[in-house]
Amino acid sequence: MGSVLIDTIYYENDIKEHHRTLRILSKFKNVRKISIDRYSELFNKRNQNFKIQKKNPSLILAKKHKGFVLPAPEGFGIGGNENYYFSHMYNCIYDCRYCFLQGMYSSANFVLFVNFEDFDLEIKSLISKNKNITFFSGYDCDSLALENITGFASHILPLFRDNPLALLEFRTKSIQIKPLDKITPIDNCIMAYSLMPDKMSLELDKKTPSIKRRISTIKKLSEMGWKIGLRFDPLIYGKNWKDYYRELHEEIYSSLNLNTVHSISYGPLRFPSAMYNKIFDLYPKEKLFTGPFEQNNKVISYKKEVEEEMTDYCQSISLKHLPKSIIFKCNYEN
Amino acid sequence: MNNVVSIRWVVALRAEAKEIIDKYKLYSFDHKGPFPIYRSKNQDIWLTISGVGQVNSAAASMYLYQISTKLQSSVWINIGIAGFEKNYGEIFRIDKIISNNNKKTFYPSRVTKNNFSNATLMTVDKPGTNYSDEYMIDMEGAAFFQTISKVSSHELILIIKIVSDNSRNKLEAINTANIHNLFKENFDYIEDCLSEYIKLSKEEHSRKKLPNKFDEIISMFNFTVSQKYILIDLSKKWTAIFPNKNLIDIARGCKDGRSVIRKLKTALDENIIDWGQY
Repeated sequence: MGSVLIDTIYYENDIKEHHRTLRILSKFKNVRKISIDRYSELFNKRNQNFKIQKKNPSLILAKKHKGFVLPAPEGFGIGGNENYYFSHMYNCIYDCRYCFLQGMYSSANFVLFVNFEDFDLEIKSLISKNKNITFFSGYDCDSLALENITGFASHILPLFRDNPLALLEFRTKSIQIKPLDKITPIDNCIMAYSLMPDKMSLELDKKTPSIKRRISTIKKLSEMGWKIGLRFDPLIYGKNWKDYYRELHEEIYSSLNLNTVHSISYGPLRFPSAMYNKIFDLYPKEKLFTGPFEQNNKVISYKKEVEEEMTDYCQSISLKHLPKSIIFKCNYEN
Repeated sequence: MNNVVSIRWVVALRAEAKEIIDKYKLYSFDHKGPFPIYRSKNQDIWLTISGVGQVNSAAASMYLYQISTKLQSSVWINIGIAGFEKNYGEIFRIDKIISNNNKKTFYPSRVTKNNFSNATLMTVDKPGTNYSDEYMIDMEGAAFFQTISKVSSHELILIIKIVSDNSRNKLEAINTANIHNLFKENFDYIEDCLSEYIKLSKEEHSRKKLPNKFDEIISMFNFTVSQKYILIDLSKKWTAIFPNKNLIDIARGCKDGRSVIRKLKTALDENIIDWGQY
């Protein structure tokens, strides 16, 4: 679970001498290493099959040339005025059935951009121009899941220590927090965990750490002094959903020092219709995609009243433990 | 056509085809096309002999695609001999192809985990003896991949090459008998590799398959083209929720296609997933 066996690494010729490329390649002695010109030669090509590639994804080491930091989708935020996201990787070792990446790319290989320093420059530039700015990491990948290979967390977190007015949400499902042992907790870095009731997670969060282990990891991080984000996103509907979500909230709130909770957010399950069709085509036997859904403005989601009932119910539980000011509802339209 | 296994072989030489034809009991398919075609009795395995060179390989591959049953889940294999400064008779799966004439590069997928050695392939237009120990040399691979990747999933395309010549084993020494031997000696290995692809192909076939009894419903009522698409979508979802129920029961009592669709929609709208039961 969460472990990944890589038997092929592609690397762009441009970055073959990059210190990060050399470090990563040296970690994998017995894998096939293939030189390429640009990652786009083999990533997200027409007639590639995401589902088959997901069985044995390769790692692609590449250089990102532009678009290091992008504006976050409308409705995405935890209180900041300006919201941006960045992705040091495309794709994820986990295989969550609701994940938009399945519909976004035709390729499941992991693309890792090794030029972290170029991300730093753009982040710093945005921080210098904006106050109350929030960055989100973990949009096109899991922030922490491949940390033992990428070293991205160890690289990027200290940048925010030096820029305390900016906020970083580090979104993950990973329980591999060893790299964080070496970093003194940073007040403006939020370790944000995606959560859903165990019953649903068992069906939908493939290849991920169990909810129990995630909660136990959250507890550890909180004890270490990290600020915690709880992300109930997406909210999954089904029989007895109220019982499941109540139990989940209670389990979390009873095991956690609530003073370390930075924020809570609730996100509805939504897909752009074209993306939904692609994902349903990949997984036609997946019950999640049977709904009951409705389509509004090319977005597929549970019915409005279902979404609202779920968010309101979950918020009401959180409000018993935490102030309203740290509880957010994501209204993004994807 | 209910065959789940679907394999398409493209080889350049008759000597390369012989072992495959014998092994799978393929017989010559009588047709008026430009390339010889062989197929199995139940039409799950097809083979063409393209002749040497990129144009031949591209044309024969597309011809085979057109003439054989077009299934998105077919496995496409190009297998042949190649020059390489490695041991004579050694077999490789190709995961990078460089076309020498247009410098285009292709990357056949590496999704299956097997014990095959992998190699880069350089496809050239003229036979030569400038052997390398970094890449194999053939005359068809790039064109085959470039052509078939337009109509097939990249992950179901397999290119296998066997070392036939190098500085110690002269090009001139290649003949029908020793090519056949190279194939014969390596065939268990080839089938081993192929079996992984067949597994993937079967999964793809199952993914693309219409729900049981779908055809019966279609034959019971008149559906417009758009209604047919809606019916496919709804019946797949219905089957996902009720895998053990009979889709035909939904259609019973309906007076027309529209009422079947309405019934399916209602069943889906009323269903609330019980995550606790899985």
